Amino acid sequence: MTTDWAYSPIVKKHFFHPKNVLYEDESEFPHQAKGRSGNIRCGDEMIILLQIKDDKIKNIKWKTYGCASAIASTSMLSEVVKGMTLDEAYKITPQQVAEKLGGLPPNKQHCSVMGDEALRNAIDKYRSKQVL
Amino acid sequence: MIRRRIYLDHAATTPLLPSVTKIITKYLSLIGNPSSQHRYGRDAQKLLDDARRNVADLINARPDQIIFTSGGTEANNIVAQNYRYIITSAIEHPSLLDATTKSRLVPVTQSGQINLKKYRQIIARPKNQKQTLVSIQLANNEIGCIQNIKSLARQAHQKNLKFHTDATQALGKLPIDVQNLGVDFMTLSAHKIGAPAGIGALYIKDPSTFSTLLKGGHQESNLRPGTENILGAIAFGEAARVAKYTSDYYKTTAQKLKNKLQKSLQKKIPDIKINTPKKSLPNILNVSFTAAEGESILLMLDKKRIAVSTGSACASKDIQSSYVLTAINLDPELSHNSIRFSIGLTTTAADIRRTVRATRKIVLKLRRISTVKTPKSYQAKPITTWLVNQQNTGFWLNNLLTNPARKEAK
Repeated sequence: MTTDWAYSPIVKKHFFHPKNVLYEDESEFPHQAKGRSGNIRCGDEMIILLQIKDDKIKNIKWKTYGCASAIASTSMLSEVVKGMTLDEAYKITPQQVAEKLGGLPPNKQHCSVMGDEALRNAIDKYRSKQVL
Repeated sequence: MIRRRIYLDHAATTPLLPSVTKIITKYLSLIGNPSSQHRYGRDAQKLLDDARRNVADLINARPDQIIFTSGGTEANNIVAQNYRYIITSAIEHPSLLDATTKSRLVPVTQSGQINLKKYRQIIARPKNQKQTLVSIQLANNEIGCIQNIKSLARQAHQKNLKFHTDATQALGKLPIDVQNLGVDFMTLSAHKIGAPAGIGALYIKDPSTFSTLLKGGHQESNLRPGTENILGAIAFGEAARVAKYTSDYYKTTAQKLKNKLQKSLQKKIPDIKINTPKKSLPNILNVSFTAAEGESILLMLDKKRIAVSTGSACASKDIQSSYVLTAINLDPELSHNSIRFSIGLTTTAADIRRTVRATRKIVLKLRRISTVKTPKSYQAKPITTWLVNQQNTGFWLNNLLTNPARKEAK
């Protein structure tokens, strides 16, 4: 007997086989921007590292401490924004990520918001550096 | 090869005992309302009496002191609603904590024990002696800590307060004697000892002085009206009969398995914290794994066909992590990382070995993804780190020697 679990099959795939994870140390992935969101005391924290060339996201790596939906949504987000321009990536909404994942349970929506926050945090930091 | 499923969540609910399955199958098509006077009714009444006697025997009570309820939650609610004020512990089951708004919480120590100084202070000044109940659980469901009920009950009685204990988790795992403990009420639940959910019992020392929530029937000595759940009672009775013999199993075999689980986890996985104190149930072990979140561990173990439970907020419906782990003053991060293993009658040493191996793999994997650094787990791969360092140093030296810009700067 197999019963469905709380998450969609896509969440399951990204949770058990996450994409673009930064397994090595940060210093071994030369990056132009780094974003962070969440707090370990609340049970979720993530960092996103971006390689940017000509205002495009060339490559993205991430690390997440958190539950299955936090890991899956960061993984999905990293797949979605790869190759996008910074403007396009900035406009990605948590709902879009959740939709791509085949939906998230209502009490897990905040997990998809976090990846988004980290990404915008990274882009903001990158842009403020460019201005200077 | 598909490996057998390992169930290590016996504190949540237990599989049916074979003898329970057998007896309920036998009586599945039983007809008879115990209130009827004909043969069918009398037969049903007899089965109900037998079940009640078995349950009473298990805790050394008289059968008339036992009323069957729909489970532990109902039993806790019935007791709580007979009193206006409740003095209880911070790690009690929600069915007691939420049953009344007028409760005073006694804090617990880091090992989950009642803070005796605070307890004495609080019971010394009850709002209204007759309307105040003291309720402390015998053993906790999350970390397994055991309270010294005998002494706590005696102290409450000295202040003329009634004492209730929730023995749901302890039933069958420890020998329980209500006469010796000296409690006035005790909550029991059947599905923690191998019977189905939906049946429990309340022990009432003096049933004549008690009133209840539900009205409209004479069943269970007027204390719990409604036609009795005979099939449930039969199952509970059978499980209670067996449970008399299982406390020995828990004291020896389960305790050994738990010790083995704890030692192997500590040996194989760096940076873990055991949340279960020494004085605890022989079958519950609660552990926190630094940098690996509880729900993620649970789901990955589930994929490896191993069932456990977690105190992480992410696994439940609310945002707060376990209030029990917060009450024993565990770091909030560690409470998100907690896993509860609970051993049962069918657990084997091989199950424990496989669980430790799987948990180790999963925790190390999650730590590699995690933003939280655990120094020891990074040291687990010294050879690769060394190689990388060598290459880096080489690259840097090379760069320094051959890069013309560097030379000029010198």
